[in-house]
Amino acid sequence: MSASVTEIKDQKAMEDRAQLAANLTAAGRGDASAFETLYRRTSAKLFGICLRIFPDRQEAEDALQDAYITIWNKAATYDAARASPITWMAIVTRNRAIDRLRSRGKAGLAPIDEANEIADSAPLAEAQLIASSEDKALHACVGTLEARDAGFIRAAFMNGATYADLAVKEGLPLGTVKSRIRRALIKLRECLER
Amino acid sequence: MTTAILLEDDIALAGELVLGVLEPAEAATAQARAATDAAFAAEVARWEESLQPMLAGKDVVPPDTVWTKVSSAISSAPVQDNSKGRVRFWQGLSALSTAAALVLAYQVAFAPPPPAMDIDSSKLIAALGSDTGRASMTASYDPITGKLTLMPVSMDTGQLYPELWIIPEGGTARSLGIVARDKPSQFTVAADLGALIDNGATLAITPEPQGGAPGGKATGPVIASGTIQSL
Repeated sequence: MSASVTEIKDQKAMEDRAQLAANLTAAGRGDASAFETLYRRTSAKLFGICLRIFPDRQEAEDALQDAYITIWNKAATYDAARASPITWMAIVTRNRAIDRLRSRGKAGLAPIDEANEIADSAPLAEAQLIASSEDKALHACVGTLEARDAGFIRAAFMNGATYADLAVKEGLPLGTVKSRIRRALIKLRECLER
Repeated sequence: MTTAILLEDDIALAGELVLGVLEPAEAATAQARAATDAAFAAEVARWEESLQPMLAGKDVVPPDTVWTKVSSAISSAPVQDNSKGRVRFWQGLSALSTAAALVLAYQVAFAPPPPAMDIDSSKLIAALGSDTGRASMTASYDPITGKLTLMPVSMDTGQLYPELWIIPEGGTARSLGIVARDKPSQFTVAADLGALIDNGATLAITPEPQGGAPGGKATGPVIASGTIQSL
């Protein structure tokens, strides 16, 4: 890969990020047209997240609607110095979707094997907004964890599985699951810092 | 602001918070800490940034009906709801909290004071709110008498009961008991718990079954919270 291509990509990613951050900040001041721009530019990505959490399309649409209403309501609390706009919106979407899953009593029900499926099999869309280098780093580092621990982390983050859910499903004591995940998180952080 | 290096335990705790595996009371404690400890907050933000790519699926353009519904929901929302939505969740005095605190200050200043009760600077207050607007309440505490006065503004806990928690900075949530949903109430706090009600600590409400959270551990989500300030 030539350096100039990387530079151009980085430049583009930074401009995208700055633009989204400006739209999100404006939405926080009640600017509905900036919010609509934000929706147009991010809804395909956030819908992709909802579809991974809710394979049922109607539920995924409801979750997406819920996520954007929450984003609108919370936009004023977005701090551009602290988080990238897409990360902030992805986390709001995930948290709302998991709340929805939990309120239906469906959290943590998907088999861990399914959650284990490596997300990098998902095609990288052209308009992918996340920097793919960060993406690759995460997948490489999750790959260094024991398969079972990596599965726990995915099941928690993607399916809303709690320590108790994982303990029951795996037939392990709660304390074992907790200490495994905590150790795996520390290992993951060390790997990501390299 | 602190730039202290976090211990492995804290790094793991921030990761657990982002993964969503903590019990509600533990999560409330960790969130309260993120509101007051810059190093911990930065660690939470790092985990969000690090784990976020795991969420990504294939980009799929949603049907137009989603935008239609979102658009009508945000334009038909009463202004008041929108302002509630702007409350910074675990942060100190936000818009709603400030307003509620002013109302409270006004009430404290202009209501006929109970006999022989000084309105002095030792009084502590908190305005509890949330980004969902489900619950909001003002609280004032007199460390000398140990009396905690609560004034609910709205309190939607459905079939459950509002339980009040005190979360000291960086500490664990402790229950102050079930509180009245629809009328002002006042009670004397036990001395050991009263010592925790201090500047910078957090008061929070979770919906719990009758009789309170089993084993003193919250089972419901935090529906309102606020930071305690000196009046």
